[in-house]
Amino acid sequence: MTTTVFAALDFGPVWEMRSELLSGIGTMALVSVVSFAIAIVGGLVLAGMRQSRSLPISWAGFVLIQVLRGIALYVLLLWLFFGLAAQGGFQFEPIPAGIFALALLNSAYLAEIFRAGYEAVPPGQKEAALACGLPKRTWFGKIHLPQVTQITLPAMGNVFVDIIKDTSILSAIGVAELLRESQRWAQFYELPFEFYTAAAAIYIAIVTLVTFGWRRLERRFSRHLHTAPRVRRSRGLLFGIGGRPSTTTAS
Amino acid sequence: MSASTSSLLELRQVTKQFGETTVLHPTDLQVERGEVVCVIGPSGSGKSTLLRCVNFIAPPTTGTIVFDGEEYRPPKDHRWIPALGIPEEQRLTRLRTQVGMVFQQFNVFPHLTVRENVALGLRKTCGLGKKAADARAVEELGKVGMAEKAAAYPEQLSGGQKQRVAIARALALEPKLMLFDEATSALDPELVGGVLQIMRDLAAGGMTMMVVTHEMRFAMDVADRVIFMDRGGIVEQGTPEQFKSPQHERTRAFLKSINHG
Repeated sequence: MTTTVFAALDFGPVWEMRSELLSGIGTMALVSVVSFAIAIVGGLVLAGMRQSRSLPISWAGFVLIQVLRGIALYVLLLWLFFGLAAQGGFQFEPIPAGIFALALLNSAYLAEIFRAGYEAVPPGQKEAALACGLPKRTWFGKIHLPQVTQITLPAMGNVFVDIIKDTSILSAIGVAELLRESQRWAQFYELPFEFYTAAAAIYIAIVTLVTFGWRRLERRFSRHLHTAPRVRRSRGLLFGIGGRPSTTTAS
Repeated sequence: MSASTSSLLELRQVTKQFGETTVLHPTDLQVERGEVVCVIGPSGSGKSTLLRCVNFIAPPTTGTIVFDGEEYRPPKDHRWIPALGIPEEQRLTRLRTQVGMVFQQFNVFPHLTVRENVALGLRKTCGLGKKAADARAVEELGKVGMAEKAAAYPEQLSGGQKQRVAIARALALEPKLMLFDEATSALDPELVGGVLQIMRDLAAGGMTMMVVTHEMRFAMDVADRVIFMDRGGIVEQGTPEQFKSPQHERTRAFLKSINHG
Protein backbone atom coordinates (compact mmCIF):
# COMPACT_ATOMS: atom_id res chain seq x y z
CA MET A 1 0.00 0.00 0.00
CA THR A 2 2.63 2.46 1.07
CA THR A 3 4.83 1.58 -1.87
CA THR A 4 2.13 2.42 -4.39
CA VAL A 5 1.56 5.82 -2.81
CA PHE A 6 5.21 6.72 -2.98
CA ALA A 7 5.60 5.26 -6.43
CA ALA A 8 3.00 7.73 -7.65
CA LEU A 9 4.95 10.72 -6.36
CA ASP A 10 6.37 13.00 -9.01
CA PHE A 11 8.71 15.74 -7.81
CA GLY A 12 9.93 16.48 -11.33
CA PRO A 13 7.61 19.49 -11.84
CA VAL A 14 8.67 20.90 -8.46
CA TRP A 15 12.27 20.92 -9.68
CA GLU A 16 11.22 22.39 -13.01
CA MET A 17 9.44 25.23 -11.24
CA ARG A 18 12.40 25.90 -8.95
CA SER A 19 13.00 29.42 -10.23
CA GLU A 20 9.36 30.35 -9.57
CA LEU A 21 9.55 28.90 -6.07
CA LEU A 22 12.84 30.68 -5.56
CA SER A 23 11.28 34.00 -6.47
CA GLY A 24 8.56 33.18 -3.93
CA ILE A 25 11.29 32.65 -1.34
CA GLY A 26 12.79 36.00 -2.35
CA THR A 27 9.48 37.77 -1.76
CA MET A 28 9.08 36.00 1.56
CA ALA A 29 12.57 37.06 2.64
CA LEU A 30 12.03 40.66 1.56
CA VAL A 31 8.68 40.94 3.32
CA SER A 32 9.93 39.23 6.51
CA VAL A 33 13.10 41.28 6.87
CA VAL A 34 11.47 44.62 6.10
CA SER A 35 8.47 43.98 8.38
CA PHE A 36 10.71 42.76 11.19
CA ALA A 37 12.91 45.85 10.91
CA ILE A 38 9.91 48.19 10.95
CA ALA A 39 8.34 46.17 13.79
CA ILE A 40 11.49 46.62 15.89
CA VAL A 41 11.34 50.38 15.44
CA GLY A 42 7.60 50.37 16.13
CA GLY A 43 8.08 48.11 19.16
CA LEU A 44 10.71 50.45 20.60
CA VAL A 45 8.41 53.42 20.09
CA LEU A 46 5.45 51.65 21.72
CA ALA A 47 7.56 50.32 24.60
CA GLY A 48 9.01 53.81 25.07
CA MET A 49 5.51 55.24 25.19
CA ARG A 50 4.44 52.64 27.76
CA GLN A 51 7.49 53.41 29.85
CA SER A 52 7.13 57.17 29.59
CA ARG A 53 6.75 59.11 32.82
CA SER A 54 4.24 61.29 31.05
CA LEU A 55 0.81 59.81 31.75
CA PRO A 56 -0.99 60.68 28.46
CA ILE A 57 1.82 59.14 26.39
CA SER A 58 1.88 56.04 28.56
CA TRP A 59 -1.89 55.60 28.20
CA ALA A 60 -1.76 56.05 24.45
CA GLY A 61 0.91 53.36 24.26
CA PHE A 62 -1.18 51.00 26.37
CA VAL A 63 -4.27 51.46 24.17
CA LEU A 64 -2.32 51.02 20.93
CA ILE A 65 -0.69 47.81 22.14
CA GLN A 66 -3.99 46.36 23.32
CA VAL A 67 -5.73 47.16 20.03
CA LEU A 68 -2.94 45.73 17.90
CA ARG A 69 -2.66 42.59 19.99
CA GLY A 70 -6.37 42.02 19.62
CA ILE A 71 -6.43 41.93 15.82
CA ALA A 72 -5.75 38.74 13.89
CA LEU A 73 -3.26 39.19 11.05
CA TYR A 74 -5.71 37.76 8.52
CA VAL A 75 -8.40 40.22 9.58
CA LEU A 76 -6.08 43.22 9.49
CA LEU A 77 -4.82 42.19 6.08
CA LEU A 78 -8.30 41.96 4.56
CA TRP A 79 -9.33 45.18 6.26
CA LEU A 80 -6.33 47.08 4.91
CA PHE A 81 -6.43 45.62 1.42
CA PHE A 82 -10.15 45.27 0.67
CA GLY A 83 -11.85 47.24 3.45
CA LEU A 84 -9.99 50.51 3.09
CA ALA A 85 -10.19 50.37 -0.70
CA ALA A 86 -13.97 49.94 -0.63
CA GLN A 87 -14.52 52.76 1.84
CA GLY A 88 -12.08 55.52 1.03
CA GLY A 89 -10.76 54.46 -2.33
CA PHE A 90 -7.27 54.03 -0.88
CA GLN A 91 -5.83 50.96 -2.54
CA PHE A 92 -2.70 49.38 -1.07
CA GLU A 93 -0.42 47.36 -3.30
CA PRO A 94 -0.34 43.76 -1.96
CA ILE A 95 3.27 43.76 -0.76
CA PRO A 96 3.15 47.10 1.10
CA ALA A 97 -0.16 46.07 2.65
CA GLY A 98 1.41 42.82 3.83
CA ILE A 99 4.50 44.51 5.21
CA PHE A 100 2.40 47.14 6.95
CA ALA A 101 0.12 44.58 8.59
CA LEU A 102 2.97 42.31 9.72
CA ALA A 103 4.99 45.24 11.05
CA LEU A 104 2.04 46.76 12.89
CA LEU A 105 0.95 43.61 14.71
CA ASN A 106 4.43 42.45 15.57
CA SER A 107 5.47 45.87 16.85
CA ALA A 108 2.89 45.33 19.60
CA TYR A 109 4.35 41.92 20.47
CA LEU A 110 7.88 43.30 20.40
CA ALA A 111 6.82 46.23 22.58
CA GLU A 112 5.69 43.79 25.27
CA ILE A 113 8.93 41.82 24.90
CA PHE A 114 11.00 44.99 25.19
CA ARG A 115 9.00 46.08 28.21
CA ALA A 116 9.49 42.74 29.96
CA GLY A 117 13.21 42.88 29.15
CA TYR A 118 13.35 46.45 30.38
CA GLU A 119 11.95 45.39 33.72
CA ALA A 120 14.03 42.21 33.96
CA VAL A 121 17.30 44.06 34.52
CA PRO A 122 17.92 44.11 38.30
CA PRO A 123 17.10 47.56 39.75
CA GLY A 124 20.50 47.57 41.43
CA GLN A 125 22.06 48.19 38.03
CA LYS A 126 20.33 51.54 37.72
CA GLU A 127 21.08 52.43 41.34
CA ALA A 128 24.75 51.65 40.84
CA ALA A 129 24.94 53.57 37.56
CA LEU A 130 23.33 56.65 39.09
CA ALA A 131 25.41 56.32 42.26
CA CYS A 132 28.50 56.39 40.04
CA GLY A 133 27.38 59.79 38.82
CA LEU A 134 26.45 58.54 35.37
CA PRO A 135 23.84 60.73 33.69
CA LYS A 136 20.56 58.97 32.91
CA ARG A 137 21.28 58.75 29.18
CA THR A 138 24.61 57.02 29.88
CA TRP A 139 22.91 54.60 32.22
CA PHE A 140 20.39 53.87 29.50
CA GLY A 141 22.80 53.51 26.60
CA LYS A 142 25.77 51.84 28.27
CA ILE A 143 24.27 49.88 31.15
CA HIS A 144 20.60 49.26 30.53
CA LEU A 145 20.22 48.77 26.80
CA PRO A 146 22.99 46.15 26.39
CA GLN A 147 21.45 44.08 29.19
CA VAL A 148 17.93 44.48 27.84
CA THR A 149 19.19 43.39 24.41
CA GLN A 150 20.76 40.27 25.84
CA ILE A 151 17.56 39.40 27.70
CA THR A 152 15.19 40.09 24.79
CA LEU A 153 17.13 38.55 21.89
CA PRO A 154 15.74 35.00 22.26
CA ALA A 155 12.13 36.24 22.31
CA MET A 156 12.86 38.58 19.39
CA GLY A 157 14.11 35.58 17.43
CA ASN A 158 10.78 33.85 18.01
CA VAL A 159 8.92 36.86 16.64
CA PHE A 160 11.14 36.86 13.55
CA VAL A 161 10.41 33.18 12.96
CA ASP A 162 6.69 33.83 13.39
CA ILE A 163 6.87 36.65 10.85
CA ILE A 164 8.61 34.38 8.32
CA LYS A 165 5.89 31.77 8.66
CA ASP A 166 3.10 34.35 8.72
CA THR A 167 4.15 35.72 5.33
CA SER A 168 2.24 32.69 3.98
CA ILE A 169 -1.00 34.43 5.01
CA LEU A 170 -0.15 37.20 2.54
CA SER A 171 -1.07 34.73 -0.22
CA ALA A 172 -4.67 35.68 0.64
CA ILE A 173 -4.23 39.12 -0.93
CA GLY A 174 -2.18 37.80 -3.84
CA VAL A 175 1.38 38.44 -2.69
CA ALA A 176 3.52 36.07 -4.78
CA GLU A 177 5.41 34.60 -1.85
CA LEU A 178 6.38 30.97 -1.42
CA LEU A 179 2.95 29.56 -0.54
CA ARG A 180 1.18 31.46 -3.35
CA GLU A 181 3.70 30.14 -5.88
CA SER A 182 3.33 26.61 -4.54
CA GLN A 183 -0.45 26.87 -4.72
CA ARG A 184 -0.31 28.11 -8.29
CA TRP A 185 1.85 25.28 -9.56
CA ALA A 186 0.16 22.67 -7.40
CA GLN A 187 -3.06 23.49 -9.21
CA PHE A 188 -1.44 23.75 -12.63
CA TYR A 189 0.27 20.34 -12.41
CA GLU A 190 -2.43 18.84 -10.15
CA LEU A 191 0.32 17.75 -7.76
CA PRO A 192 -0.72 19.31 -4.41
CA PHE A 193 1.12 16.76 -2.27
CA GLU A 194 4.45 17.34 -4.01
CA PHE A 195 4.30 21.14 -4.10
CA TYR A 196 2.99 21.59 -0.55
CA THR A 197 5.56 19.10 0.75
CA ALA A 198 8.26 21.13 -0.99
CA ALA A 199 6.86 24.35 0.48
CA ALA A 200 6.78 22.88 3.99
CA ALA A 201 10.35 21.62 3.61
CA ILE A 202 11.50 25.04 2.48
CA TYR A 203 9.81 26.76 5.45
CA ILE A 204 11.44 24.29 7.82
CA ALA A 205 14.85 24.77 6.23
CA ILE A 206 14.66 28.56 6.33
CA VAL A 207 13.39 28.69 9.90
CA THR A 208 16.15 26.28 10.96
CA LEU A 209 18.81 28.43 9.31
CA VAL A 210 17.45 31.61 10.85
CA THR A 211 17.27 29.97 14.29
CA PHE A 212 20.91 28.93 14.12
CA GLY A 213 22.00 32.31 12.84
CA TRP A 214 20.04 34.00 15.61
CA ARG A 215 21.68 31.79 18.19
CA ARG A 216 25.07 33.09 17.10
CA LEU A 217 23.80 36.62 17.57
CA GLU A 218 22.58 35.72 21.06
CA ARG A 219 26.00 34.33 21.92
CA ARG A 220 27.66 37.54 20.83
CA PHE A 221 25.53 39.53 23.24
CA SER A 222 26.07 37.15 26.15
CA ARG A 223 29.79 36.55 25.70
CA HIS A 224 30.42 37.96 29.18
CA LEU A 225 28.63 34.90 30.55
CA HIS A 226 30.84 32.34 28.84
CA THR A 227 34.31 33.68 28.31
CA ALA A 228 36.22 30.85 29.92
CA PRO A 229 38.41 29.28 27.20
CA ARG A 230 37.20 25.76 28.06
CA VAL A 231 33.71 26.74 27.03
CA ARG A 232 34.90 28.34 23.78
CA ARG A 233 36.57 25.11 22.73
CA SER A 234 33.49 23.09 23.53
CA ARG A 235 31.49 24.65 20.71
CA GLY A 236 29.44 22.06 18.89
CA LEU A 237 29.91 21.09 15.28
CA LEU A 238 27.21 23.35 13.98
CA PHE A 239 26.52 26.89 15.21
CA GLY A 240 27.03 26.04 18.83
CA ILE A 241 24.56 23.17 18.85
CA GLY A 242 25.73 20.16 20.79
CA GLY A 243 28.40 22.01 22.75
CA ARG A 244 28.70 21.51 26.44
CA PRO A 245 26.58 23.92 28.45
CA SER A 246 28.45 27.03 29.41
CA THR A 247 28.38 26.81 33.16
CA THR A 248 32.06 27.40 33.84
CA THR A 249 32.86 30.15 36.29
CA ALA A 250 36.20 30.83 37.86
CA SER A 251 36.13 31.86 41.46
CA MET B 1 19.15 72.68 64.37
CA SER B 2 22.56 74.33 64.54
CA ALA B 3 23.89 75.51 61.20
CA SER B 4 27.36 74.10 61.41
CA THR B 5 29.06 75.02 58.15
CA SER B 6 31.91 72.60 58.66
CA SER B 7 29.72 69.51 58.44
CA LEU B 8 30.17 67.64 55.20
CA LEU B 9 26.65 66.29 55.33
CA GLU B 10 23.55 67.45 57.10
CA LEU B 11 20.09 65.90 56.98
CA ARG B 12 17.27 68.18 58.11
CA GLN B 13 13.91 66.57 58.86
CA VAL B 14 14.39 64.03 56.11
CA THR B 15 11.53 61.55 55.61
CA LYS B 16 10.86 58.80 53.13
CA GLN B 17 7.52 57.26 52.26
CA PHE B 18 6.68 54.52 49.80
CA GLY B 19 3.00 55.10 49.09
CA GLU B 20 1.27 54.98 52.46
CA THR B 21 4.19 53.37 54.26
CA THR B 22 6.60 55.61 56.13
CA VAL B 23 10.02 53.96 56.11
CA LEU B 24 11.90 56.95 57.47
CA HIS B 25 10.42 59.28 60.09
CA PRO B 26 11.72 62.87 60.28
CA THR B 27 15.44 62.48 60.80
CA ASP B 28 18.18 64.98 61.57
CA LEU B 29 21.79 63.99 61.19
CA GLN B 30 25.16 65.64 60.74
CA VAL B 31 28.31 63.97 59.51
CA GLU B 32 31.61 65.78 59.98
CA ARG B 33 34.48 65.61 57.54
CA GLY B 34 36.62 62.55 58.15
CA GLU B 35 34.01 61.01 60.43
CA VAL B 36 33.10 57.33 60.20
CA VAL B 37 29.46 56.72 61.11
CA CYS B 38 28.25 53.15 61.47
CA VAL B 39 24.52 52.57 61.27
CA ILE B 40 23.17 49.44 62.93
CA GLY B 41 19.70 48.12 63.54
CA PRO B 42 17.30 45.31 62.64
CA SER B 43 16.31 44.76 59.04
CA GLY B 44 13.52 47.04 57.89
CA SER B 45 14.61 49.73 60.34
CA GLY B 46 15.31 52.26 57.58
CA LYS B 47 19.13 52.06 57.51
CA SER B 48 19.43 51.45 53.78
CA THR B 49 16.74 54.02 53.07
CA LEU B 50 18.66 56.60 55.07
CA LEU B 51 21.74 55.95 52.94
CA ARG B 52 19.77 56.05 49.70
CA CYS B 53 18.26 59.38 50.62
CA VAL B 54 21.71 60.91 50.99
CA ASN B 55 22.61 60.43 47.31
CA PHE B 56 18.99 60.60 46.12
CA ILE B 57 19.01 57.05 44.75
CA ALA B 58 15.77 56.94 46.72
CA PRO B 59 14.91 60.64 46.90
CA PRO B 60 13.54 61.73 50.27
CA THR B 61 9.84 62.56 50.39
CA THR B 62 10.38 65.69 52.48
CA GLY B 63 13.29 67.44 54.14
CA THR B 64 16.57 68.97 53.10
CA ILE B 65 19.99 67.49 52.55
CA VAL B 66 23.00 69.77 52.73
CA PHE B 67 26.14 68.34 51.23
CA ASP B 68 29.36 70.31 51.21
CA GLY B 69 27.44 73.58 51.62
CA GLU B 70 24.89 72.89 48.88
CA GLU B 71 21.23 72.29 49.59
CA TYR B 72 19.26 69.52 47.91
CA ARG B 73 15.51 69.06 48.23
CA PRO B 74 13.17 66.30 47.03
CA PRO B 75 12.79 66.63 43.26
CA LYS B 76 9.34 67.59 42.01
CA ASP B 77 7.45 64.89 40.20
CA HIS B 78 6.97 66.18 36.65
CA ARG B 79 4.51 63.54 35.55
CA TRP B 80 3.06 65.58 32.72
CA ILE B 81 6.12 67.29 31.32
CA PRO B 82 9.17 65.22 32.35
CA ALA B 83 11.59 67.57 30.57
CA LEU B 84 11.11 70.12 33.37
CA GLY B 85 13.00 67.83 35.70
CA ILE B 86 16.25 67.89 33.72
CA PRO B 87 18.12 70.73 35.52
CA GLU B 88 17.33 69.16 38.90
CA GLU B 89 18.52 65.80 37.60
CA GLN B 90 21.82 67.30 36.43
CA ARG B 91 22.37 68.82 39.86
CA LEU B 92 21.78 65.45 41.50
CA THR B 93 24.18 63.82 39.04
CA ARG B 94 26.88 66.25 40.21
CA LEU B 95 26.05 65.41 43.83
CA ARG B 96 26.41 61.71 43.12
CA THR B 97 29.88 62.09 41.60
CA GLN B 98 30.95 63.32 45.05
CA VAL B 99 29.27 60.51 46.97
CA GLY B 100 30.44 56.95 46.33
CA MET B 101 28.21 54.02 47.15
CA VAL B 102 28.86 50.31 47.66
CA PHE B 103 25.93 47.88 47.67
CA GLN B 104 25.14 44.60 49.38
CA GLN B 105 24.59 42.90 46.00
CA PHE B 106 27.74 44.53 44.48
CA ASN B 107 25.81 45.72 41.41
CA VAL B 108 28.83 45.50 39.17
CA PHE B 109 27.90 45.80 35.50
CA PRO B 110 27.93 42.18 34.22
CA HIS B 111 28.33 43.00 30.53
CA LEU B 112 31.45 45.13 31.07
CA THR B 113 34.93 43.96 31.97
CA VAL B 114 36.32 44.81 35.37
CA ARG B 115 38.35 47.62 33.84
CA GLU B 116 35.38 49.01 31.94
CA ASN B 117 33.30 48.91 35.12
CA VAL B 118 35.70 51.39 36.71
CA ALA B 119 36.62 53.37 33.59
CA LEU B 120 33.05 54.18 32.51
CA GLY B 121 32.43 56.62 35.35
CA LEU B 122 35.83 58.24 34.83
CA ARG B 123 35.07 58.85 31.18
CA LYS B 124 31.54 60.10 31.64
CA THR B 125 31.92 62.23 34.76
CA CYS B 126 35.57 63.29 34.82
CA GLY B 127 35.85 63.72 31.06
CA LEU B 128 38.88 61.46 30.74
CA GLY B 129 39.73 59.95 27.36
CA LYS B 130 39.52 56.19 26.90
CA LYS B 131 43.24 55.56 27.38
CA ALA B 132 43.57 57.82 30.40
CA ALA B 133 40.43 56.35 31.96
CA ASP B 134 41.65 52.79 31.40
CA ALA B 135 45.01 53.60 32.98
CA ARG B 136 43.35 55.26 35.98
CA ALA B 137 40.96 52.32 36.28
CA VAL B 138 43.80 49.80 36.48
CA GLU B 139 45.52 52.01 39.03
CA GLU B 140 42.37 52.11 41.19
CA LEU B 141 41.94 48.35 40.80
CA GLY B 142 45.51 47.92 41.99
CA LYS B 143 44.62 49.63 45.26
CA VAL B 144 42.09 46.90 46.04
CA GLY B 145 44.27 44.10 44.69
CA MET B 146 42.26 43.52 41.52
CA ALA B 147 44.58 44.89 38.82
CA GLU B 148 45.35 41.47 37.36
CA LYS B 149 41.62 40.81 36.83
CA ALA B 150 41.15 43.99 34.78
CA ALA B 151 40.26 42.08 31.60
CA ALA B 152 37.92 39.59 33.28
CA TYR B 153 34.14 39.80 33.32
CA PRO B 154 32.38 39.92 36.72
CA GLU B 155 30.88 36.47 36.07
CA GLN B 156 34.37 35.04 36.49
CA LEU B 157 34.90 36.64 39.90
CA SER B 158 34.04 35.61 43.44
CA GLY B 159 31.72 37.75 45.54
CA GLY B 160 34.62 39.30 47.41
CA GLN B 161 36.33 40.18 44.16
CA LYS B 162 33.16 41.72 42.75
CA GLN B 163 32.82 43.85 45.86
CA ARG B 164 36.43 45.02 45.51
CA VAL B 165 35.69 46.06 41.95
CA ALA B 166 32.60 47.92 43.15
CA ILE B 167 34.69 49.71 45.77
CA ALA B 168 37.33 50.64 43.19
CA ARG B 169 34.57 51.90 40.89
CA ALA B 170 33.27 54.20 43.61
CA LEU B 171 36.70 55.38 44.80
CA ALA B 172 37.89 56.16 41.27
CA LEU B 173 35.72 59.27 41.24
CA GLU B 174 37.49 60.56 44.39
CA PRO B 175 34.29 60.99 46.40
CA LYS B 176 34.13 63.15 49.52
CA LEU B 177 31.77 60.69 51.19
CA MET B 178 31.48 56.92 50.88
CA LEU B 179 28.26 55.04 51.62
CA PHE B 180 28.49 51.33 52.38
CA ASP B 181 25.16 49.50 52.40
CA GLU B 182 25.78 46.14 54.08
CA ALA B 183 28.80 45.71 51.86
CA THR B 184 29.76 42.35 53.38
CA SER B 185 26.34 40.82 54.05
CA ALA B 186 26.19 38.86 50.78
CA LEU B 187 29.74 37.51 51.05
CA ASP B 188 30.87 34.07 52.04
CA PRO B 189 32.32 34.28 55.57
CA GLU B 190 35.91 33.72 54.45
CA LEU B 191 35.70 36.68 52.05
CA VAL B 192 34.35 39.21 54.55
CA GLY B 193 37.71 39.98 56.15
CA GLY B 194 39.36 41.20 52.96
CA VAL B 195 36.61 43.66 52.15
CA LEU B 196 36.45 44.92 55.74
CA GLN B 197 40.22 45.48 55.64
CA ILE B 198 39.81 47.74 52.61
CA MET B 199 37.16 49.69 54.50
CA ARG B 200 39.41 49.95 57.57
CA ASP B 201 42.25 51.28 55.41
CA LEU B 202 39.91 53.76 53.83
CA ALA B 203 38.73 55.00 57.25
CA ALA B 204 42.32 55.25 58.44
CA GLY B 205 43.09 57.34 55.37
CA GLY B 206 40.58 59.95 56.52
CA MET B 207 37.63 59.14 54.25
CA THR B 208 34.24 60.28 55.49
CA MET B 209 32.07 57.18 55.62
CA MET B 210 28.54 56.11 56.43
CA VAL B 211 28.50 52.36 56.94
CA VAL B 212 25.36 50.26 57.34
CA THR B 213 26.64 47.02 58.79
CA HIS B 214 25.94 43.99 60.92
CA GLU B 215 29.64 43.56 61.70
CA MET B 216 29.65 44.82 65.28
CA ARG B 217 33.39 44.32 65.78
CA PHE B 218 34.09 46.44 62.74
CA ALA B 219 31.69 49.12 63.99
CA MET B 220 33.24 49.13 67.44
CA ASP B 221 36.79 49.32 66.04
CA VAL B 222 36.40 51.78 63.22
CA ALA B 223 33.41 54.00 63.93
CA ASP B 224 33.72 57.46 65.42
CA ARG B 225 30.00 57.29 66.04
CA VAL B 226 27.46 54.49 66.07
CA ILE B 227 23.81 55.07 65.23
CA PHE B 228 21.13 52.60 66.19
CA MET B 229 17.99 52.73 64.07
CA ASP B 230 14.68 50.97 64.59
CA ARG B 231 11.25 51.32 62.95
CA GLY B 232 12.30 54.11 60.65
CA GLY B 233 14.04 56.39 63.09
CA ILE B 234 17.27 56.98 64.99
CA VAL B 235 16.81 55.56 68.49
CA GLU B 236 20.24 56.24 69.92
CA GLN B 237 23.68 57.41 68.85
CA GLY B 238 27.04 57.74 70.47
CA THR B 239 30.65 56.64 70.47
CA PRO B 240 31.42 52.91 70.34
CA GLU B 241 32.44 53.26 73.99
CA GLN B 242 29.00 54.58 74.91
CA PHE B 243 27.40 51.73 72.97
CA LYS B 244 28.93 49.23 75.36
CA SER B 245 26.28 50.34 77.84
CA PRO B 246 23.38 51.52 75.71
CA GLN B 247 20.74 53.81 77.17
CA HIS B 248 17.73 52.56 75.31
CA GLU B 249 15.96 49.28 75.93
CA ARG B 250 15.51 48.58 72.19
CA THR B 251 19.23 49.06 71.61
CA ARG B 252 20.05 46.65 74.38
CA ALA B 253 17.64 44.08 73.00
CA PHE B 254 19.11 44.40 69.51
CA LEU B 255 22.73 44.14 70.65
CA LYS B 256 21.85 41.16 72.78
CA SER B 257 20.07 39.43 69.90
CA ILE B 258 22.99 39.78 67.49
CA ASN B 259 25.55 38.77 70.08
CA HIS B 260 23.71 35.58 70.81
CA GLY B 261 22.43 34.97 67.29
